[in-house]
Amino acid sequence: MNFPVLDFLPTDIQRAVRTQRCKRRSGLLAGLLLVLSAGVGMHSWNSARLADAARVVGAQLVANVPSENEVMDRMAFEQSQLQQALQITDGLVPPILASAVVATITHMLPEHITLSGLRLETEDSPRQMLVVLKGVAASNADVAELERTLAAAPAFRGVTVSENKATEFMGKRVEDFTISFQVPLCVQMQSPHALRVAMGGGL
Amino acid sequence: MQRFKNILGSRQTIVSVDFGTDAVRVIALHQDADGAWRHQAAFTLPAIALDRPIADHLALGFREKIREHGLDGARCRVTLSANNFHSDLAQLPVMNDAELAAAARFEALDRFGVDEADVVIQHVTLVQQSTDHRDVMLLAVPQKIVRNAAQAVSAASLSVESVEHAAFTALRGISRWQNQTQIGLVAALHLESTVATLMLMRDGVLAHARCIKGDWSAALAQAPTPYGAHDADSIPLDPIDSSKSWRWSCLAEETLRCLRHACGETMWPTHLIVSGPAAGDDSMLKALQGVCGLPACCADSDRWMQGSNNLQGEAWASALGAASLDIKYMEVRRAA
Repeated sequence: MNFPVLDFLPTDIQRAVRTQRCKRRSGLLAGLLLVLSAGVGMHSWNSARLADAARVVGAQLVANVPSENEVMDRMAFEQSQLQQALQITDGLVPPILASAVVATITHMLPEHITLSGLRLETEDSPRQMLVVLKGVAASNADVAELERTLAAAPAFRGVTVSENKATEFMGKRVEDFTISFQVPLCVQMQSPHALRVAMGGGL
Repeated sequence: MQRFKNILGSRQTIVSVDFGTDAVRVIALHQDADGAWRHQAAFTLPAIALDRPIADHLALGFREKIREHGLDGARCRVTLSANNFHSDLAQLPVMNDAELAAAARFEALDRFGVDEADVVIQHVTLVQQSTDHRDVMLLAVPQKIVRNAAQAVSAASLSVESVEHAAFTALRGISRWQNQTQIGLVAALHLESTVATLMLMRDGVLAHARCIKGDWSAALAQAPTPYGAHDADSIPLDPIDSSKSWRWSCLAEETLRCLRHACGETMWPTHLIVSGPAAGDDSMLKALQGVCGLPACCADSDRWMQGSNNLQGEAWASALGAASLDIKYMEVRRAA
């Protein structure tokens, strides 16, 4: 429909309404801008505060970081502690088994000695194993060699020839002897590989 | 928040205020997300006499209602009832638009006998029937009426967009929502309590307009004007207490005379569409139909808008028609 709009609103009222509308809109936009600015300002301030706190924490962390020499010294100290701990671990010797004692003695016997008896007894105080060897040797030198060999073994303590007398065996003169010694049964510290005992056919 | 949206001009809401003789009608239309328009609020207030400053209690009530419906700061279109206007038809020589406006203004001042500073004058050029002259509808409304209306609206926190003649906005609504007005000769009658405006459209263009003074206040809800207080030129609803069709005979006969004057004997309107606060009477339609010899029907303005089932009668035609202008602008803007 081609019907014109007959607007009877006077020009001055139109202008006044337009001005008032602009004022309202401007005021509202200004208010929104103010709120927006305040929001952005608050956000910026908060961000700056957080950044400042992060910077302070970073500075503190930097200040507390040890120097290179301190780190090297600490590492050397820890290395030495580790070495000591490994040495202790390596030096720990568990109690020797009776089979190992027998195997060791058998392994140490000189060529001209024959064992006629072996007694193993354990004692609780001190906790140790009492070993008594009885045998026949071709000479006193063989008995002395066996005593030295046993005494040289770190696992055996108090090697003593308790009896040694000459006797005859199958028409020959031999030395009948008795040797006693103790084997500690507690965990002990030794230099690594110092306590060598025969175990199941090997050393 | 709604107020801020209204001030920022999010034109999803259209407000229209009709200062009728019987009541002030306010309607707010809202566009849904799917583009459909439906009325968000519609309420009436007691009639406001615009020839004097608005009373405080009325202004307060108006403002409260506007605030209650969340329409603060919204732009609104105002319509004034026809009884506030001086109107006349004039024939002016063919001239350009600027000269025609000046001539119409001069002619209106001369015919209405008013001071130029006291009135707002507009004119409508009717469809051209002759090459040697132009038919012009002259309209003038007192400045104080317009200013008081604008003042009332501003006091209610609304922002006035335009002030228009109620009958012509109703015609705009009819043209938009009635499908039968675009082709041929169609008559529309906007009936208010004291003025009936007869408009004739030829192929969707205003061809003739005539204001008929009368007293049809009995058809409104309010009490009728005392019989003795009638203007000497006005047509009474005769007899006022009658419920028969012929009580509207005077109006129907005057309508017939106007139609004969406008159409002659050659071409007769295909039908007559009636709108306005006083148009809810079936007997009036029968009288118009019988006397004028053409189908008469109501504008059905209560069905123009979705969700407007409670807009009963034809009283909201002006407000809806005024709002239809914004709807049209928004459709054009959206299409662009």
